[in-house]
Amino acid sequence: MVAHFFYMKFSEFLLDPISSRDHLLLIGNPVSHSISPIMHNLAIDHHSLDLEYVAVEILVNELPSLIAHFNSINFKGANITLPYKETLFESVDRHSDLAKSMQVINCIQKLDQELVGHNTDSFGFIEPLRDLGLMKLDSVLIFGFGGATKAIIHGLRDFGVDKYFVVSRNPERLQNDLPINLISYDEWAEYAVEVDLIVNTTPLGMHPNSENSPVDAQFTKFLADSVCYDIVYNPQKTTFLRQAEQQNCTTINGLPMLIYQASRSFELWTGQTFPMSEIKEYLDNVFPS
Amino acid sequence: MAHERIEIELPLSKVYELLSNPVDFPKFLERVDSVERINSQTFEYKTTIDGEIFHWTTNLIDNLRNTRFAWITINGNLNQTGTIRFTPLDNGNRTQVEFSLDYRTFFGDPSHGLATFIEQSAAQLVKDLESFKKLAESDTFKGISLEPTEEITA
Repeated sequence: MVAHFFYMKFSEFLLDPISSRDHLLLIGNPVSHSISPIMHNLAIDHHSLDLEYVAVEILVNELPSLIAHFNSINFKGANITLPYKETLFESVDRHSDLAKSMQVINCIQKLDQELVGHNTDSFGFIEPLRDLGLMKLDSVLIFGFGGATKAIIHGLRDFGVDKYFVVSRNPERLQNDLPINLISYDEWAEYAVEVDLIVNTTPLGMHPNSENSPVDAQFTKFLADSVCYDIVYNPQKTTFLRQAEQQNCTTINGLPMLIYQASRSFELWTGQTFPMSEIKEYLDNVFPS
Repeated sequence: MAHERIEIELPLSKVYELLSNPVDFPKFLERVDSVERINSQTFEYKTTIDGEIFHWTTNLIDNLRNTRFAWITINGNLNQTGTIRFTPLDNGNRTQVEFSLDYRTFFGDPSHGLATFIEQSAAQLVKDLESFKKLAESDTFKGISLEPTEEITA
């Protein structure tokens, strides 16, 4: 199995022969470090589809030509990444219910000539929990209050969660319209004992700061009895997840989330199943534990 | 992100052969000091920027003979991604090379020296690919030693 990985500037893409063949795009800036092209081109090869997934770096002043390009007969869909997830929200004809409630899209599906905006981030987050057989959660604690946290809270709506505790460095300063309790890093351990799931959405533990964790070593025991989930995928086993394993917790790393959110996009675009196990095996070889 | 295209007056298979071994990259990537092969997929890069040593480990993620070659960084203190695409010209007697090279930090803003290094990436890649073309077409690429030469003083 050989991945196909290529990225380019949007201006270059428009001049490239690929743009006149059927294609899917990853739209963002930067895009060069996204592994979406690896996953989607593996899936395309798996099904022998006459299609190519290309990551294109877009400048703000190129957005009008990008939106015009959506009308091209060869454009078959896209993933949207930072910083355009909100910017391109209005560029589609309609939205899925989830995307509408989040006001953010990360996937454009071309259905006949209509553009439909979706958000697959939430799906990506919850599917690994369903794989563990979890159907109901009473309370959840989340480290970090960025875009990922909002997607997670939307994704957990079907799990019947009563309480969310979101740990932030500046809880008093943040305004939000979500059903959450904002708490500080000094307080989290008090709430940890009553939660079922603890999630790290911060970059603490991500390369090159792989020794860091949102949990101080002295508070590791408060992770016990919870499922611990880190959305970081490089390294796959972060310090936070190692701490959780020491407390015999069930752990989930960020790779399954990444693969599931990609699978949802791929299935929307092509109607084909995503070759999950092959892609997981490929990425396991790329990213160290 | 730097993205450049160059035409080489050599057959596709020869150009692919010269560009598909990262250990040889310092022969033309002026700002990479050394690349060490760890195994067939993994390579360690090293360079010095503004007096600070940067090192990073890459894994090949795409290597289709005579067609594509790409890698990503899996750890280190500088995040480099590269892709090379090879296209035959004139029935394969000449080759078009498209080279993309991107540097950034894993997290947070780069230091002043690193920011300058990143800003200069596009201009540097133009120079680097010209060097590659010269070395490859003059058939001296393989003969270059990467050992540092000792300065001779009187």
